[in-house]
Amino acid sequence: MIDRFLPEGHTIRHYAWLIVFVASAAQMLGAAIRMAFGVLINPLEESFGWSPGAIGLAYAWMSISTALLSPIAGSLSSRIGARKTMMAGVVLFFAGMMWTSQVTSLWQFYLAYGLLFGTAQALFLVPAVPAIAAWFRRHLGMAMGFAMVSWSLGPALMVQVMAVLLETYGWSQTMVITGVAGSVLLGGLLFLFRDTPEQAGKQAYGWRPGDAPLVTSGAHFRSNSKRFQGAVYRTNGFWNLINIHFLGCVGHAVILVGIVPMAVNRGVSFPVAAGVLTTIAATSIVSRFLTPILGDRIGAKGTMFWSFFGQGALVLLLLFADSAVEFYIFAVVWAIPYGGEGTVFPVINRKYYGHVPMGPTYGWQLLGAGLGMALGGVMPGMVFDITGAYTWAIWLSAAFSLTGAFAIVLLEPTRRLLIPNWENLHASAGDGRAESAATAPAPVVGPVAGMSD
Amino acid sequence: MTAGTAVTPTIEETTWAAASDRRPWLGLGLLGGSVAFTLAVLIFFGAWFADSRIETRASASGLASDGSTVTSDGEWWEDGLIAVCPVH
Repeated sequence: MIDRFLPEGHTIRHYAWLIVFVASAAQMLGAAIRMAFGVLINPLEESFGWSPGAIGLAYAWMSISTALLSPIAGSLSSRIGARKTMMAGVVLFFAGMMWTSQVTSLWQFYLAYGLLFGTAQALFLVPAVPAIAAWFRRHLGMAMGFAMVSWSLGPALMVQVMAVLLETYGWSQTMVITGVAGSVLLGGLLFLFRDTPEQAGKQAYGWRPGDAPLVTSGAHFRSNSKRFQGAVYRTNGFWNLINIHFLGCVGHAVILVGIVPMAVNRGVSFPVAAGVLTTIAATSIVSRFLTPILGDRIGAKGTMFWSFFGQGALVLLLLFADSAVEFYIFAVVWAIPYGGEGTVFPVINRKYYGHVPMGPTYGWQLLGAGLGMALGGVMPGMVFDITGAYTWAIWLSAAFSLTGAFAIVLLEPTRRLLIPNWENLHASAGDGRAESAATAPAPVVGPVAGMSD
Repeated sequence: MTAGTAVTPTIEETTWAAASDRRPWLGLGLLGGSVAFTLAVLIFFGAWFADSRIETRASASGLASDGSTVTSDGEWWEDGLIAVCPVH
């Protein structure tokens, strides 16, 4: 019934959308717990007398743990599968939340939240996006659009829920409730999860007769995937995309962490200043959804360039913002390129490397992103402590984003695969699985005129 | 296949080999440049921070009140950052 309202050639009745839903739920949970850290600071300070700086260090440990373990999580998802990797993440998430609820000293808090939860996040966040990519032969941009919206929706909903729970049950019980509810929800959803269309005996969304199937198991896959990943490491795009993700994340982390104190510093009241951050999160939902679709249809490199350029150039508006209205105008204008900045990476990966398992490649890109977020997060406070103003932080944010835009210009064109004929080689020399996959049930989605590949 | 027979690589194998032989100097160079730029920023602001901490301590201990040169012993990381930074 819903299919009648969708563009021609699309259907909601495809297993791929369930994968998008489960992966989005995992991303929502991870992003929500991470972003809700801010509401934990005061209760922990009151309970234990720890300083906000000491508590904040747990957040830094968590960010660094997630970043450093991302390539390992990506590689693991490629070897044992996304579902098993994410399931291990759920177990660690549960353990981390339970331990966090019982901590009595700072070192325990650093281990429970910083290391255990940081590791859990890497395990259930990294495999989600490559798994979606495996399920979409075409229209990956649209799938990514839906998945990326969860990054904004999760925190927007969860921060409020956690605030109510903290008020009602206290911080320890809140950790227990969130840990149990999150683990049960995600664990249950993962039982419906299948790593690849091949594993579920289906074809990827947008598959057309004549397309080489994605082969993700068997001896031939294991030997060739290693060679393939070796060839990926020899492309300029692989290293430059890590670099670009790092630069972009430094650029926006400075603003996300610094915008509230910046506004307060210019005389805006705290609740009004907090609304600026909420406005950024809400507005960015639109571009998080649209940018991957645009990247898929009109060009991933150009879309990514304008997002970075916009993020870097428009941040300079903050140099002239002195009132609440000006901060809100900034929030709406800047959130559009910011929302699109990180969402095109899976699309550009597809353009460069084709319909192949993307776990290790995406894991390395998230390493760059995570380190960028950690660095950008400490910059505003550091700059303010030294200079007594945020001017330098704004210039640094612009410099990092615009350097990222310059690096995008130097990326290879996306018109052709960087490792040509991988899919053909894979399919033609197969161990029988390629042929069996090619004769699998006919795709639900037919050719769509005008849609990019 | 018999011994001594020349094997002509397929198109797939040829393009595969070409992709495997590349060296990603541009990508690695850009990543290295970003790391160097980031380290430079951290060293610059770190040395600035260290400098201001040393000055604050010196002022607090009264070393600067008589008009003499402000000096104070820095901690190891403060001295290290100032030594590494070319502009501090």
